[in-house]
Amino acid sequence: MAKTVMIVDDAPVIRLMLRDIIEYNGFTVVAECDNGVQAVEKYKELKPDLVTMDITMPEKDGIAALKEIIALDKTARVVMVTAVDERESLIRAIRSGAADYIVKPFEEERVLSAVKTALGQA
Amino acid sequence: MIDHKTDRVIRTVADLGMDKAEQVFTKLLKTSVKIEIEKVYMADISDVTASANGLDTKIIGASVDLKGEIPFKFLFYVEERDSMLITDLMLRRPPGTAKEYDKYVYSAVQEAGNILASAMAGVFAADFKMRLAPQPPTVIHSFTGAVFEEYVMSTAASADEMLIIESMFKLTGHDLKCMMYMVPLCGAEKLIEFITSGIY
Repeated sequence: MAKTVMIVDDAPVIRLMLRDIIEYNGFTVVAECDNGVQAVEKYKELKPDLVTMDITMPEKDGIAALKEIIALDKTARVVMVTAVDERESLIRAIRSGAADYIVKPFEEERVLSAVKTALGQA
Repeated sequence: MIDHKTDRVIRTVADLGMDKAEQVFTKLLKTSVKIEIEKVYMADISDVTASANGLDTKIIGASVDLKGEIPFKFLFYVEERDSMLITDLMLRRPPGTAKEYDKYVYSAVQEAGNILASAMAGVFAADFKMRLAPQPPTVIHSFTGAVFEEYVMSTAASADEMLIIESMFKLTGHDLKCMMYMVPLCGAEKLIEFITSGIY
């Protein structure tokens, strides 16, 4: 059975780019969310195998949502997605339990590598 | 009239920023992008706004607040028709695929602005030891004059001058006229002092 992925990003164009890459490579996208509040709610409901999480988002940012998801489920696998040069945020994310991170703009190979590594398929 | 030292400072900032922007845009659009700086200067906000109010060009852009020791408002925009080309290139589709101003077009420009603002923040952090945290971008679709009224004049209470980078993004087979504005919310003088101390 294909592994399930939830994409969290406030930019529809980035969600579409990630969905194309993820689905083309045999994973199933079960939900898209555009903020951290929705992400936590959807995670509780769907328990996806992996979450891709943008850091800078309105309402609740990606780091806050990551912390809540990890508090709910210590085994959650979350890959952070962020714009260039937010290194301090990335360090905070890794310390908060993120499995990996992708820097925007991203290449398909890098997305796939992060997804597979986080899912233990590398 | 700005002095030679100030002129050198703002040109250094623009050059470093554009080098970084060129790298990220080439990667984002998966096509060779050459950014040429047409003009970079500090200008009085009221002069810029008066001039922009005279223009009725319809544009799509992104406004990003950069929070930090010296906070900025960052504004990036392209002419309406060019936003579709950016969208098609980002989504790896043939140019001409996007036909209407839908959520993907707005989002593509918003994300381009976000990535450029983050690139500029990265330059300030790496070269001038100034931390700037980009906030979620706001997308804009309006006339140039209205954009200045809403996004630039709203900062006029705390800022008097703005750093303007007029640039032309040259893609393989296409020219995109892009405008970037950075308004230091603490006032231009403090910004120049901060940057100068890192250069001299």
